[in-house]
Amino acid sequence: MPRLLGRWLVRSTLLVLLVSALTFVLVSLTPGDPARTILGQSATQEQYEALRLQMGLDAPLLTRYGAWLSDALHGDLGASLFSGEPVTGLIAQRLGVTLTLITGGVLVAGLLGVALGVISSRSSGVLARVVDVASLVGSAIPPFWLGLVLSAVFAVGLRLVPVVGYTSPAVDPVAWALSIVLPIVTLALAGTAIVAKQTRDAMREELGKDYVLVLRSHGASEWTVQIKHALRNAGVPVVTVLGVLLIGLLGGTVLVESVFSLPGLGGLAVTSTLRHDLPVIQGVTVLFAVVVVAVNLLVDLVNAWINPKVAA
Amino acid sequence: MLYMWCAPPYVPVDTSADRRRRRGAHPPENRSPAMTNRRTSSLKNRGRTTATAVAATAVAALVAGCSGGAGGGQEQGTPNASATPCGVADSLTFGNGAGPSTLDPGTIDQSASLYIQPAYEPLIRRDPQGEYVPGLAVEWGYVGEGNTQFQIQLREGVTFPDGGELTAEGVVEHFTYLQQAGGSSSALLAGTTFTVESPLQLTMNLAAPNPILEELLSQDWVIGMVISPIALQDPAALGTSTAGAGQYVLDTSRTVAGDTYVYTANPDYYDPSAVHYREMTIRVVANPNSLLSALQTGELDAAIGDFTTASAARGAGLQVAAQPTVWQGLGLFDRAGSLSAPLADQRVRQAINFAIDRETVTEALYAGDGVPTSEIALPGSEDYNEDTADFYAYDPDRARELLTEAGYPDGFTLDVLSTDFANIGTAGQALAGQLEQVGIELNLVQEEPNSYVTDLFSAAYPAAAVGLGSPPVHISATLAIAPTGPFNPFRTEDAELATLYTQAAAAEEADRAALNQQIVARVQELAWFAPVTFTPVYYYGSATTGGLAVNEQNRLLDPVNLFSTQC
Repeated sequence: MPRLLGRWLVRSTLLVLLVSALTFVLVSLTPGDPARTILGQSATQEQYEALRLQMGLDAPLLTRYGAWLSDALHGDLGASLFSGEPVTGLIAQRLGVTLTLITGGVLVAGLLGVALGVISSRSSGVLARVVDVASLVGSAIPPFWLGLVLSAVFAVGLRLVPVVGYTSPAVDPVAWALSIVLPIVTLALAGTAIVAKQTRDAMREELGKDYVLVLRSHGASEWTVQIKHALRNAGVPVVTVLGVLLIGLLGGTVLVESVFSLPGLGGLAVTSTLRHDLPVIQGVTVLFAVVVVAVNLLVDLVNAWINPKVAA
Repeated sequence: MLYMWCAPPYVPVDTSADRRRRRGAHPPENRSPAMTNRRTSSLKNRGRTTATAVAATAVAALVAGCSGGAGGGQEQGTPNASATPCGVADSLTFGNGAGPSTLDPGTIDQSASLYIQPAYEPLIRRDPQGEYVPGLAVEWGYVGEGNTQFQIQLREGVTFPDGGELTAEGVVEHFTYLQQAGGSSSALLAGTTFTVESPLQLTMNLAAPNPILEELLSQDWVIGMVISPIALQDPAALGTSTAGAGQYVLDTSRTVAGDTYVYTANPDYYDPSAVHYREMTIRVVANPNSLLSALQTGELDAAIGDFTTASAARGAGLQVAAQPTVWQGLGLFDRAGSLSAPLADQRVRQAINFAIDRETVTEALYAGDGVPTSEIALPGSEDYNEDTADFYAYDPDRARELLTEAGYPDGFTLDVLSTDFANIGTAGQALAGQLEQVGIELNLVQEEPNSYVTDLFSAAYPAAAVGLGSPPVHISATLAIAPTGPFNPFRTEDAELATLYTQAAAAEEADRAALNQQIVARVQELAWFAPVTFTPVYYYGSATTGGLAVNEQNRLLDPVNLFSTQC
């Protein structure tokens, strides 16, 4: 385990550095300019150049990246070029929403998907085919379209939940639950289908192995056979899929946040990119990179717990 | 975020002394005789004119955030125009598709001024009838001839929520801050100096004639929204809070940047009868369908709509009001032919204009909500030139003749910059089909909005599909006709236009409209552009939300004028 953590630390540090450098370069190379955006069309060239100087945009790319990295290592991700708000504050304000969406989506997809997978693994009939079709359809439905449909039915039609907006759980837990349920379901649907199919296939493979026959011949209960042994052994690919799913949901939140008008990091990333607000883009991207490496570590750790040979 | 001008309506009005008295304003005692005389003279002229048009000069990409509507007197739906306020209601929630990049009046994008209007009282207020009435200024007007000096008399006893007081010195500090902040407003104040005449009176000394200061100092533009002198001591805080003397104050503890902006009533506002809600919220709802759904469920009371949902909004029984605002068409920028030789010939540019069936394109793209045009001025505005309305009546045969005369009987291929934002790309495709009929092939190059703006301003393409607003001609000429204007990327000059512009900028109001009409006609004759249709800005409202009406006299919706009719 210490070796695993050591490798992870080195790899993740390098990865985050690489991502931050690439982001810095790519955003700087894309057309558009925050100074021009702030000044508008009627500004003179002199005003434009003066603002670029004031914002430090005239400095060489490497110098600017170095300054950013130095500050970032001291916990300062800079401030928005437009509003002047600290990037860490902007992220903190929106992190909770995105984390809620992602963890909620993964939990729902994981619990439902594993349950459906286990149940359908025992059936070769209708239920198995339903899982097959559902996983195909579920992964093909665009989340924003699904979100609009769910919103039309449950928010506009039945008036069970709000159409847009987010309520903090500290303000009103019930309103928070209502504001977050549809976005989570929207995010989770495709993942549920994928996890169910993965679980079913892995379970079938395990249930066909010799040790299952031995367990059954020794009179082990079906619960012990399926959950304690087969599911645990089938868990490695399922956990890996859940990890991939969680990373994928980072991107999915952008559209879902837009449909349900939620103040999350996805929307912040999009608007900052459109404005060329480099410090904010950098902050969000680096955070996403950290989340990705953390999820990968988590997957490795869980897999190592499930199957100690992985950690060896 | 891309940049856009959503300019206010240009509505010269009869701002009579009686009206000011009814609103509780009193003539200042220390007003200068020159100012009084000029004001009186000006009012006589204004009485003859009632309406003009709004202005919004925008790169297409920027239309979405526009808080304004304008038009040719067209109004759709059943806006709650006859409704009356019910007193002070609890709250209003307003929806808009895009948030502001900052709340600092010094750097805020003019298209996002919606977000600071509730908190910043303008010097001059455009009321719901489209008339200019006292705000923080109780009297104003040009001094002398030539539109280069503008005097402002301030309201007495106004305090800002942070304890600051309204003084002439403070207003000068405000203007000076805007000049130095580097935002879009700084260009409007470039070169202007200020003279403090008395504690409540100041004079703006302009670097060049500017005939539309009354409009520029209203809530539709940012420069008139005065910042507290105390807040100016720490401008860094202006990006995330408000420091105006308006009806509301931003509640920063409940505001989430880019998502929700909560304002509470300002107990010290000088006219409590104008405060219709205890609390106002502006929510950013980027998805047009979600915005419409939220109006249907009552989560929003009113919103700035979108042409993609206008029909559904009407079907859902919402109030829908719209005024055509932004003209879409082609900017034929390379008038010297450096990138596209045919465009150097005026006959070719005119041929392009003759080859477009504007009625058909407008109907196809915007059903009944668009207004066909070959002029850059809004129909119904004082700048609109009736005489040249049919200058480019659809005539493909004439287009072919002109192309033949210019030496292009078989047509030519024209590279056209385009973008998918705000239906610009679709409009460009529609025009491509039209021009193909006379042999002109448009090679539409689609770019994402940021690149589109950059390439447009840097003269990377000879022509572009555009969506440009229609501000008063003084501004549209500065932006799109003057050699220094960003929408004149190839720096084309025309001596006649330059003369007309100079004359109009310094003219008395009585003469200005005629000169502006000549500018519009000259631009049309030169065929620097190929305007096709005025597209509307839509406003949606629930059944109980009043004050939604927009019309020729009041082309931009002001959120603080919304009120509840649910008594």
